[in-house]
Order: sequence, then C-alpha cells, then structure tokens
Amino acid sequence: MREEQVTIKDEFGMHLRSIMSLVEMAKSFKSDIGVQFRDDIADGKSPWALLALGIIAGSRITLRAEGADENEAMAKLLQLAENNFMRPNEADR
Amino acid sequence: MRRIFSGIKASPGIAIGRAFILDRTLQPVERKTIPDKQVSKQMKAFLSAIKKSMKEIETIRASLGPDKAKELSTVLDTHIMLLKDDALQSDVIKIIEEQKVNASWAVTEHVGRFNEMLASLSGEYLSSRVADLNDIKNRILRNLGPGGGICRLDEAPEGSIIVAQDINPSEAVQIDTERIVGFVTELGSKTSHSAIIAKAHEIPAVVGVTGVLQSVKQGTRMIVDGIDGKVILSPTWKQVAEYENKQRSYKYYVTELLSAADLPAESRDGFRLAIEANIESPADVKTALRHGAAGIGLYRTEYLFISEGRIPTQEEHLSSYKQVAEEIAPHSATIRTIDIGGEKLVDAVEMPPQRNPALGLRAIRLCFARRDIFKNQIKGILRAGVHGNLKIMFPMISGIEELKKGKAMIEECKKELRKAHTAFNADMEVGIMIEIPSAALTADILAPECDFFSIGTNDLIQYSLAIDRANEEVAYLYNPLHPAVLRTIKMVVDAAHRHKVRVGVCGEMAGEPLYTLMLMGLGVDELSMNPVAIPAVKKVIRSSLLCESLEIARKALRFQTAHEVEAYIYNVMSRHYPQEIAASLFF
Repeated sequence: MREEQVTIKDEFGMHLRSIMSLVEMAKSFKSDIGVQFRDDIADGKSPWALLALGIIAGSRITLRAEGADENEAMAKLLQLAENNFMRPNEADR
Repeated sequence: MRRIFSGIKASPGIAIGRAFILDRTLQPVERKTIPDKQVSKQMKAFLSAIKKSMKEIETIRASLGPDKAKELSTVLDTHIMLLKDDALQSDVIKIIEEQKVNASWAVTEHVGRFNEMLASLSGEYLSSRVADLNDIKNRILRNLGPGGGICRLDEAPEGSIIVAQDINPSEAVQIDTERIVGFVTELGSKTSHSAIIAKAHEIPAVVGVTGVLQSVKQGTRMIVDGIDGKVILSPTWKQVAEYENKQRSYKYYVTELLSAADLPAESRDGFRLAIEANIESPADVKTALRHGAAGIGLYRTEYLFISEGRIPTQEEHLSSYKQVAEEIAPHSATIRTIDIGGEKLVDAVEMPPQRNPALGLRAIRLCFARRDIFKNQIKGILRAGVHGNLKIMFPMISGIEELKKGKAMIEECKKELRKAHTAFNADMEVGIMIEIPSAALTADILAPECDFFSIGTNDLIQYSLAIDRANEEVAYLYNPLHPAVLRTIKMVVDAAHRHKVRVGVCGEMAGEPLYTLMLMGLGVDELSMNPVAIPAVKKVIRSSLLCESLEIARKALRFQTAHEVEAYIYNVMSRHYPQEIAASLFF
C-alpha cells in the first residue's frame, strides 16, 4: 500500500470541483483509493463520501492507494494535489 | 417602500432593466411511514428518479452553446457525478429500508445531513456548495412526483434583471445573455454559483440582497450596480442618467484599459516604470497577471497566518512562496515578512493586550521577540528562492539597528540551511518598507545597507500626520497629499538614488491614477498596487511624457496645504486623463 500526506492549498478547501477531478482520476485506476482526514476515511471514488469529510483550506490529508497499479495511481494523485486538484486543462485558467 | 438596497458585489458592471421575478416554491416534503410491501416500490421510484435526473442534466448540457462551454458544463458534470455515486443510492435506499419511509423524505433527509455538515464548516465556498446539493435534491424530488419547482427562466423578456431568492446552478447555466442583463439574489455569497456564472457571462450581479423580494414587483424598472454592490428599484431619471454614465466608464475600463493591460508601462518619451501587484495569497497571482502586472511588489504573508489561525510551518511557507515564484516568473516577487500585531491581530500569535497596538509590539518587532516564527518564514523564503526570483522585505523598520538585526537573522538562517544541506538562494535581495518617519528621515543611512525601498504610504501617512484613519472623528485629516507626505517621499527617493537603491510605492497611493504622474515625477521607480488598478495606471503612464510628470511633481511640492495640492492635481489630471480617473471608481 502507498500512503502520502498532502496539504489542501486551495483557499476554498476541497470543493465540489476538486472532488470531481479526484474521483475521476481515482476511478481510472484499479487500486482502491482512500482519503483520510482527521479520523475519517473516505472512498476516493465516492464524491458523497469525500464531501462528508468536510476538508477545509489548509488541511493535511492522507492519500492511500492499494492494488495492482498503486504506484502509478499515487504518482498521478500527488501530481493532481500539486495542481490544486484541478484538471490540467483548468490549471491555467 | 425601500428603493435602495445593498448587497455583495458578485460580478462587476451596471445593468439597467426590468425585474423578472423567479418564483419557484417547492412543496414541503412530508415524512410518511410506509408498509413493508411498499419499500421496494419506493426504492424503484427513487432509482428511476435518479436516472431521469441524469438524463435531464445531459439534455441541458447538450443544449449549451459552445460559448458557454467549460465553466458552466463543469457545474453540470459535478451534478451528474454526484447522482452517479453509488454511495448516494445506497445511503438513500438504506434510509428507505431502515426507517420505512417514502423516497422523497429519504432524499430530503440524506441531503439535509450533508447540508448541515457543510454549513457548519468555516469557509464560505464550502458552505455555498449547499446550493448544489439542494439543486440536486430538488431535481430528484421533482422527478419523484408531482409538485416542485419549474424553472421559468426561459420566459424572461429581453432586458430582464432576474430577481430571486437564489439561482440554482442548473438554472444559472441556462441564462440567456441576449435577454438577461443582470441579476439579484437574496441569498448567496461571492463564491456562490450565481456569482461564478454571472462572472463567466459578464453579467452584472449583486447577491445577498436581503429584503429585495418584498419590495420588487414583476416588471419594476431597476438598476443593478455590480461594482459597488447596490440595487435601485424604480430609479429617478437622474439616477438612470448617472448610472448610464457609470456604465460607459466601466465599458471604457473593460474595453480600453483591461484589454491593453499587457502593454508596457512606458511613457511616450520612453521612460519606463515597473508596475507590480499587491497580493495576499498565491491564488492572486493569476489575477495580477491578467491585469498586466509585471511582478509582485508586495506579497502580504499575513493571510497564511490568518486563514489557519495558527503559526504556519516552514514547509507551508515554502510551498506558498514557491507557487508564487513559479507563477510570476520571469518577473520577481517581493515577499514581506509578517506584519502582524497592530490592527492586524491574529489568533495564531498570542499576545498580551497592548494599550497602543499601532505603536506596540508588531511586525518586525514581534518577529524579533518570536524568533522561531520569523526564522521559519525566512527559511521558507530562502528555500523558495531556488524556484524563481524572490526578494525579502522587512516591514516597520524604524532604524539601522533593526535592519542589521534582520539581516543578521537571514545570515543565521542561511548558515543553518547550509548545515542541513538544504538548497536555498544565497544572494537574495533584501529591502525594507519605509513607513515610519524615523526610517524616512534616515533613508540615507539605511540605503547602503539594502537593495531596495518600498514606501508604504498608508502607514507612513498615519505615523507622519498622527492620524488614525479608522477614527471617524479625525479621518478627514488623513490626506496623502499633505506637503509633509510629498516631501518625505521626495527625500526618500533622493537619498535612495544617491546610493543606487530603487524605490517603490506599495500603499494605496500607488493604485490611484490621480497620483500616478506625481509619483513618477518624484522619481519613484516602481508602483505596486491592487491588480484591478493596474490597467488605468498603465494607461496614464503610456499617455504621458516624463517632462510632464516632472512638472507636476515640481509644482505639487510648492503648495502649502493638502487642499491646494489636491486641487492642482485633480485639475491637471482630470483635464488630460478624465476616463482613467473616472475608471478608478471601479477599484
């Protein structure tokens, strides 16, 4: 299993749009993707579950990937986090 | 009857038109206990309502013209994604099964839980997402049975100003800019959907206008001022004329100034000024660039402390500054070390109450008292300097000892970084804010010890004239054009230039087109301002001649009172740059 911590840089926290890009990406991998905030863990492929975490700006969250393509998944997820959870075509707007 | 309302400005511009009231009252949902055999029927009804809802959204999406593309269809994508989520389906079905209730109630309860949770979070963006969830909920409810909101937005006649409690995201994407010229909502915030959509369509909008629905009638003539966040019902002809003027000025700002924001700030005879932006968070860099900033002249780092309510770690400093450095490249960014204390009290740093905070333990003084906080920030800046052109600036320097002490701390940080084998920029420029009269008076002593000065006019005026601007009794005495202020600026510039040190101005004065030529004539090298002000200031510079500005500065220095200076400056500037001066209404 891979596990990495990231900080939510977006001043509005983890909002719907960032959740959407995270879910889209998570779904493209076979591995199980998890997101942990404080003591709660959510399925990275479920927007409602992620929404329920209530991740606000500046939060430290833990990303988890477990499965056949976990290394690739984690690399992509970290890249997405670095990009403020915006899809590449949105990042330059 | 109330005629003038104020609210939150959500999208700039002026709209003059007639009210179109969006009315969609939803039937309240009742909780009904159902017999066992009904459970599977309710579950099926729910699942087919979900399917129907998804289809509806797909249809709306397909009907969007290409011009409304990205921003808007993302909203719809989000809704589809939320509807598709198995968690939604299983959670609602669980409620139906366990509580033996009707599907409408189960949906209402499920979304209600999320709304409560989101609303309790800090940060208006998250809590404004409640609108999305309600929109989805209402759509499902509508598809579950009779009753519910029917959107009549498509019936709005030409020149309509939508007035509503709130505009649902899925409604907002259907806004037809040919017929709808503005909108006003009672609810909402700067980051609510209505606001985002209005901005994307460039339709003036004011949100959070409480009570407007009580006074407005279908077809009432009205004005929406998205620049100052005002709404006027049944305006007089005089108000209409006034706002038509404002509309024209704004149009000038957008079409003439903003569109030319990227042109260099160079006078007709080839004199160049550096025009930079003041920012508060890395997210502001984009705005700065869009408005034509060639660098960041002042990055106020307080936001890092305020947003979290705690002291940021060195890594957090690093990641913010790195982002700014990379995004502003090839230009530079000047990072001001924290200026907290004084009026900018922050929860992150506990301090004993002070009798006179403006003159107390704040900014660099606080940093010397709390070296841990200071060193983390300096290290963050030095390390981020590897990723772009960053400069360090100390606030509230009152004399040479403080500057030397600050620089010694930078050296100490470098030593520690070196010891830890951490990469950093070893020859970063170091400058200071000139905002305390004692620093201005000793500018010639300070100049050899630093790479640049930045005059913080707000505090400089406050300390020079002994005026607390927030105190209404004396605020009238706060005058940037007081001869003492102008002489101080002149003196600082001259002292700095003798030592080949560049001087910027980063207070509010810098962003006022009225003062641009005077500051240029006084010899200031850089102006750093609120990004929105940049296009107008640049336009003034591009239309001017250096000799003209020298003349303005020379004359301004001769007057005895602030009023005389003001009258002179206003006279000469409004004669030559009337539209740029008028445009300053917008920032």
